[in-house]
Amino acid sequence: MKNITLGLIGTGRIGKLHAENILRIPGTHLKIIADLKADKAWAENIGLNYAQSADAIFSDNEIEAVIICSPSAFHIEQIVKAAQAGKHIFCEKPIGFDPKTIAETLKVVELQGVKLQIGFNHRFDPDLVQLKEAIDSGVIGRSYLIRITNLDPAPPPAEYLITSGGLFLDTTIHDIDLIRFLSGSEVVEVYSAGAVLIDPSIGKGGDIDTALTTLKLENGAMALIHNSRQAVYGFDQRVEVFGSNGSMSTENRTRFQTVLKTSQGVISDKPMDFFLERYKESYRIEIEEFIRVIREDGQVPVTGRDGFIPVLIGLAAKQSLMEERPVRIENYSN
Amino acid sequence: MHSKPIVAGLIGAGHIGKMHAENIIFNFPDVLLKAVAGPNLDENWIETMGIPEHFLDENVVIHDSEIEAVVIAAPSPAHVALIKSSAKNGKHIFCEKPVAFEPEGVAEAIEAVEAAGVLFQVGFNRRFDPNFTRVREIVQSGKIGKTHVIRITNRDPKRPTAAYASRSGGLFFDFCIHDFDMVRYISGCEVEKVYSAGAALIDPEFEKLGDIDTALITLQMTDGSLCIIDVSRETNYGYDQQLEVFGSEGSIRALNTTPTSTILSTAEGVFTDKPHYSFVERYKEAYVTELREFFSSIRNQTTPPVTGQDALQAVKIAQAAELSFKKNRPVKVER
Repeated sequence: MKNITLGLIGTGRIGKLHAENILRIPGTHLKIIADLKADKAWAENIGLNYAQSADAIFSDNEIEAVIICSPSAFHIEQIVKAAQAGKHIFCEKPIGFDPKTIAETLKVVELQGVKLQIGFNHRFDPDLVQLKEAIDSGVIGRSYLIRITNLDPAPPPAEYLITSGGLFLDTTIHDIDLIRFLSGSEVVEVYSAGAVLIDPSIGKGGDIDTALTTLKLENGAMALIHNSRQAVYGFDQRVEVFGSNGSMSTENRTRFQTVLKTSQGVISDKPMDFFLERYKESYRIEIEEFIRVIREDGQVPVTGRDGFIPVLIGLAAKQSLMEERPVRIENYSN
Repeated sequence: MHSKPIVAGLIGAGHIGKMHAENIIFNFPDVLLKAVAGPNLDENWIETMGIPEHFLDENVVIHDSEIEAVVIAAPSPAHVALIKSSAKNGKHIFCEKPVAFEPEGVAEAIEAVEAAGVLFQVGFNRRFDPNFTRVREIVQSGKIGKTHVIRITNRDPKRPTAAYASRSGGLFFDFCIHDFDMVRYISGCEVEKVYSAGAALIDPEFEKLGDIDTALITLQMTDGSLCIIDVSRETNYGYDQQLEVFGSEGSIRALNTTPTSTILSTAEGVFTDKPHYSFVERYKEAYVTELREFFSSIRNQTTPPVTGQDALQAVKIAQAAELSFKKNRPVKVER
């Protein structure tokens, strides 16, 4: 088995998780992690070399692939540098905020002939994979409606929110990707109603914390996304696909399956409240897939185009909210 | 205190009219269903139920001075005229939804009952479903905090013929009207704006008649909260009636009710019942409770729990929802 040497940029929560997952994959060598504010104690503890600048990774000839987990605003620049250095790239979502820049970046990637996989991890969640298989098997029939509930347990820190790109590009983008993944179709129109109901400070930055987004798909089906920055009872992650033969849905996962019954009522566990825990398997599987694809010189399961289109739709959702009207998505060419 | 029985008459004895009659006969010993009127009456059924009188002409019931209250379950287009003549003859009125397909019709009906000083209740039965009543109680108690999003799933088990559906006002007036009432009932506030996305996905016949069979309706409420209603004319797995309210302190969900609560586990998987199949089964208790409330309003001379104004608002929302669908843009709801 060919050994794959990797570098990782950005050691926030998600970067650390990817690093720890890679360390468990046989035949890989995570050579350098780069972060301006690298957590030295953490890196030393798991035996990793760290650098302050990502350039140490780009200029290292031994490194074949880069995992980009830096704040979203740095993604484009780092993808370009990694591609120009001939490295395969796994990049967290969103790839960027500006369609034109993303399109140009994807051209560079294509020209350099490197692989680029986008971190839409929900596609690898076992429940959602099962749902996708059920749809494709025809057991639900023709899809009429995809309904997604995606509610965060608590708003992220203010400094994250500023760089997040707003609710649509930070959160809804996962759901948009999931709709494309499950339906195998493209979104043609989007309408969003949203509000600031949780925290007025989110509104001051021009963002919203609650949104209902309805989408019309090319295959005639419709989709609905409910997003909120705060569900006090946990990370609420549910999907239903309703079709001509019936419906299939996923429920929240809980840490415990216990049910307590007393004179006060019946109480079961709340949904898992941390995204890294809820989507644990999916984060592991997406990286395993990325490494397998490099090793076998195959096709990445989530392409640059898959990263690009949800940005277009997320921006259309934002426009719909501002202009209070449904918005068509026409410019799919990149 | 009203010690004599309330004497009632029924106008229209189709599927739903018969159900109301049976509910009166089997549940309210203090109400006498004296007469039933309508075309194509089922005489065997009338005899079995022991209803003393029956007529083809509803005017006989409306002019019967002994009858205090009428239950109107005739086809929707006849509702307004029947309400007006019943009111004029001093009858208290329970009328099935929708009262009319235009706000003007509902307003005429309201005017007539107000002028006559009779009590008027509209058949938004879902308000009396124990699950939804509980959701409203929880919302009002503040347990889930400030309401952010109300989500309703309303899906029929089997589609009606497209011809029937369009005669009954189309998806927004015939079907979604219940949901428009429900969001007002649960939230306690009014709808500000509505946007409808819809399509004929189940049966192209709907489209030919200018109707749709599937819709996603987004509502913005006067208190700043949002609602989403997903509706479909056919599930194949039963009557899917769910409600969820999400708020700042938590959420409450009402799931489907099922004929039994058994769980079968085999090597093939774990099987539970499908939802109740028809509205008659699903809302069995609600249909009895709404009439109990109606008769108790008559006895106590209190305002019925679902008023003409409620019917009027629901129709205004339906009208805006339909316009939104046709124009493909959000529409403000007139209040």
